[in-house]
Amino acid sequence: MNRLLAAICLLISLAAPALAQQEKGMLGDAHRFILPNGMTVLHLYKDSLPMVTATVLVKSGSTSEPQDKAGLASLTAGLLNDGTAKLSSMAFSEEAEFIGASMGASATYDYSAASMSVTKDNIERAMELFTQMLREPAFKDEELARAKALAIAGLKQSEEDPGHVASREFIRAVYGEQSPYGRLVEGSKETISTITREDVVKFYSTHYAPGNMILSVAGDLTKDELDALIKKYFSDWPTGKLPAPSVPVQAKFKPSRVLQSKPLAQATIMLGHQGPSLQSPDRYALTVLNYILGGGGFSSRLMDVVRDDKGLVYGIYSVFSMRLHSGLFYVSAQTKNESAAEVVNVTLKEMERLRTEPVGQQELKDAKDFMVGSFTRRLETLSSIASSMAQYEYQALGLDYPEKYKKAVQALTQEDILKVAQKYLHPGEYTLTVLGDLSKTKGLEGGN
Amino acid sequence: MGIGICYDYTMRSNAIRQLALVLALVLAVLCSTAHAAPSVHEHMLANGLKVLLVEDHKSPLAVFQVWYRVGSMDEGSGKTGVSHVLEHMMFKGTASHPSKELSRTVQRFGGQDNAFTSRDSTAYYQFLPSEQLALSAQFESDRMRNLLLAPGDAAAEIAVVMEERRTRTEDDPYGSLYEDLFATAFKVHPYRWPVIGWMEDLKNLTPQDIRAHYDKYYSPDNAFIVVAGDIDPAATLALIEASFGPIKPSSTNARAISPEPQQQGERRVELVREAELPAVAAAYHAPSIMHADTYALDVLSTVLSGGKSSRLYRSLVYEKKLAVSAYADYYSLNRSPSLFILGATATPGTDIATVEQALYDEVEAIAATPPTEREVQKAKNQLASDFIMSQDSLLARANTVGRFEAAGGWRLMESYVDSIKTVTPQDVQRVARQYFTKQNRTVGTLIPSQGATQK
Repeated sequence: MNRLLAAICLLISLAAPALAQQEKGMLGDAHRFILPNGMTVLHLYKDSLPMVTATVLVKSGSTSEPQDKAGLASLTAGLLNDGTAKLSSMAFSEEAEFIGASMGASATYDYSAASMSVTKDNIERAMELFTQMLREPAFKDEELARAKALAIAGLKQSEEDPGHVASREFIRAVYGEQSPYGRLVEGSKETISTITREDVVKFYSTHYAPGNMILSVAGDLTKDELDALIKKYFSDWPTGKLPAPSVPVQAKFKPSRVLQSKPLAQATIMLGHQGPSLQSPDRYALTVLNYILGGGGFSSRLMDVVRDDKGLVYGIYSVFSMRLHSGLFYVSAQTKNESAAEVVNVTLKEMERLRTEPVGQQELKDAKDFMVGSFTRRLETLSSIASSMAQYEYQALGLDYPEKYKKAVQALTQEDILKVAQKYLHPGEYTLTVLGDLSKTKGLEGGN
Repeated sequence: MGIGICYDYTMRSNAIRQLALVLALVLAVLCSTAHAAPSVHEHMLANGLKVLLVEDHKSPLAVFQVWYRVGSMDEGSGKTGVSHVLEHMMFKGTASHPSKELSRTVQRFGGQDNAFTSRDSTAYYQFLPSEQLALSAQFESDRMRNLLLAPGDAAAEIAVVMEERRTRTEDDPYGSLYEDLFATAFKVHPYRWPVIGWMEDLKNLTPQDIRAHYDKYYSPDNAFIVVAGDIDPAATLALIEASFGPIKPSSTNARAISPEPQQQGERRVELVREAELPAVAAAYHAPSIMHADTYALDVLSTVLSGGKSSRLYRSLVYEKKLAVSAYADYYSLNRSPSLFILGATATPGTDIATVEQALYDEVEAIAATPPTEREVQKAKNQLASDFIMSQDSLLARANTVGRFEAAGGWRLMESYVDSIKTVTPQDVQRVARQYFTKQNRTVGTLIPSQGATQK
C-alpha cells in the first residue's frame, strides 16, 4: 500500500475511536466524598478482576522537612510497615504476605503515598493491616536504626548507577542545596545520621492527619462495601490539626557546568534548567511540546536525530517534571564518551529549533492524537486508576480531568507550542551535568 | 510527564533490577481452576503459524504480539547478539512501510510498540485500541518476510546496540557479574553468551549475517501470535488468516542445541571492577518448566525470597544485617534448563565470604528441615494472588501466554496452579537437597576495585 493510501485509511479509522466511552467520562462512575474527619475519599468500582487496590496520598513530602534532616519524610513513610502497636515488623510482613497482599509506602518531594493491593477475598484483613500501618506505626528505635543503616547503604550502592549520580549533581546545580528540590528525597548520609525517633514521630503526627490525606480505591469493591470498611477503619481517626503548607526556598537559577570524571564506557548527560510548576496554565501545551522534543518515544525529534540518524545513543529523552512549587526541564542521554559533546550540541540545536520554527502541522496532530488516545492505556490497570484519581485530587484537577485534558490538548495550535517553547526552553542558559571519562570527552568545557 | 522510554530491550532473566518484573511474569501463571474453560483459543494456520487468542473485555484495548522461536541460544560462535540486532532492524522498514511508520501509526492511536529478545525467543508487540488490530496484522505480516535490511541502517543500528551494551553491561557491575556467571556456569550450551552479544562480535557483525538469520528463522512455521484484550476471537482469527495466511512456510529453521553436561564441581569467577559494595551470586543448574520439579522449585524460591518475611531477607538483611538485599531468582520458562540463583549485596564493611556462607546456610536449613506448613501455604498464596493481580495488565497477560508457549506450550499455564497446590514441605526439602549441592554450583563475586569508594 502506498503512503497516501495508508494515510487515507488512517484518517477514516481516526474518526471513530472511543467515542462511546467518552460520553460519561472515563472516570464517570467514580465517587468523591469527604469524611467528617476531613479525609477525601475517591472510589471507582470495577469488577474486571477480583482485586482491590488502595492508595493513601499524604499531602506532605520532603519539602516539609528541615534541610538538616533531609530524608525524614522518606524514612517516615518507609517505617510505616516496619511494625505497629499490635504487630512487630516481621509479624506484620508475615501476615500481609500470608494473604498475598502487597503494601508499602514512600515519599516524594511534595507528597507521600502508601499503597495496598490484594485479592477481593482478603480485603477485610488487608484493610485492617493497611490502617494499622497508617494509624499506629510503632517507630521502634531498633527499626529506625535498621532503616537508617539500609538507607545509607542504599545511597552508597546508588553511586554505582551513573544515572543516579548525574541526576543528583544536576538537581543540586539547578536548585542549590538550600532548596528541598535540590536534594535527594532519600537525604544524604550526613542528614540521615542525625534523624532521631523524635523527628520521625513529630513528622508523622504533624502530617499524617486525615484532613491532609486522600484515600483512593479502585477495584472489585462496591460503594457499600467501601463505606463499611471506612466506618470500621477510618471514621474514628481524629481530625487532628492541618499542617502549615510547605513553602520551599526558591533558588534563583544560575547556569553551570558540572563535569565529573569516572572510568565509565559512557558519558551520562543531563542538560536543562528550572521549569514551570504544577500551577502553570501551560501544562497542556508543554505536554505536547515535550512529546515532540523528546517525550514521544520513537517519534520524538531527539530520538530521530540522535539515535536513528546518528546512532549515538540507545535512548534520549526529555522531561518537564512539574512540582507544587517549581519544576524541572531536562534532557537525559547516555553515549560513548567520545560523542558526548555532539549529543549536547544536537540537543541544544533541537531546543533552539523549537523556539524559532513552528512545529509541523502533521507533527502537532500526531502528538495531540497520541496524548488524547493514550489516556485509555494510562488508566488501564486498577493501580493506575487509583493513583491517577489521587493525583487528580491532589492537583485539584477533578475526576473529569481526562475529558478536560483531551479538550485542552485538542485546542492547541502551532503558535501555542511555539510560545511555550520560547517561554520554557532556554538553550542559551542551562545547566549541564556530565559524568563519564573526561579524558575521552572533548568540547564540553565551553561557556554557556 | 511524557511517556517513559524503554526501547527494545534484551530480556535478561538475570538482571537484578528486573527481578520484580520477572517475578511478576513467572508468577503470572496460576490459572483459576482446572475445570474452567481454557483461557486461550488456539488455532493453527495451514502454513504452521500458531495463533493464541485471549479475550479480556475490561477496556477497549488489545495487545498484538508476534513471537519468533529464535533467541541468542540459536546463534553461532562469533555471531552473538545477531538475534537482538535483527530485532532492532525490524523497525527499519520494508518496501511498503518505511522505517518509523509503524511506531508513528501506532502512537497516533495512543498506542505503543516495542520488542524484546531473550535467550529463547524474539517478540514484537503493539498495545493499542482493539479496533486498530488490523494495523498490527498488516505491519507484522509485512515485516515477517519483506524487511529491507539496508546495510547503512545496519551499521547505525549496531552502533545503537553497542550503546545499549555499554549501559547494561560495561557500566553496570551487576550486568557484568551476570555475564561472567552465565559464561562460567555453561561450558557447552549457548546460554553461556549474553543476549546482547559480545562487544567484539557486534563489531564484526555484517549485514549479511543479519540477513542470513532473518531468512532462516523468520517464517510462519517458526512463529506464533498472541492477541489479548477486547477482541472477537473469530474476527481476529480471520484478520490474521487474511494477512499471514499467504506467507509460505520455510523448513530451514532446524537447529541442534548441545545440552549442557552435568557439572562436575564448583566453579568460581571473580569480577574486580568499579563498584561500591561487594556482591555474590551463586547459580545452580535447575530444570525448566518441562520438568516436574519446577513447581517445588518455584515454591522454594518464594519461601526464600517472597517478601520481607521470607527467609533470605529475614536472615541476611533483617537479623544478621549482613546484606542490603538478598534474593532468589528462579525462572523456569526456558527452552533449556537454566539456573536457580541465590544472591546478595553486602552491607558496607561486611566480608562477602560471610554473606555467601549465610546464603548457603538458609538453603541447607531447608535441606535439613522442611519449611513449615504455614510457610509453604504463604508461598502458594503469594503465587496465586500475584497471578490474579498480574492479569490487571494486558501486556503482562500476553507475555505470560507467550513465555509459556515459547518454553514448552501454553497449556502448561492452565495446569500450573494445580501443580503448585500439590507441592508439600517435603517436596521443597527434596529439591533443596537435590539441586543445591556444591558440585552443581557456580559462584560469581563482585569485588569493588581500589579507589571505587573515593568520590
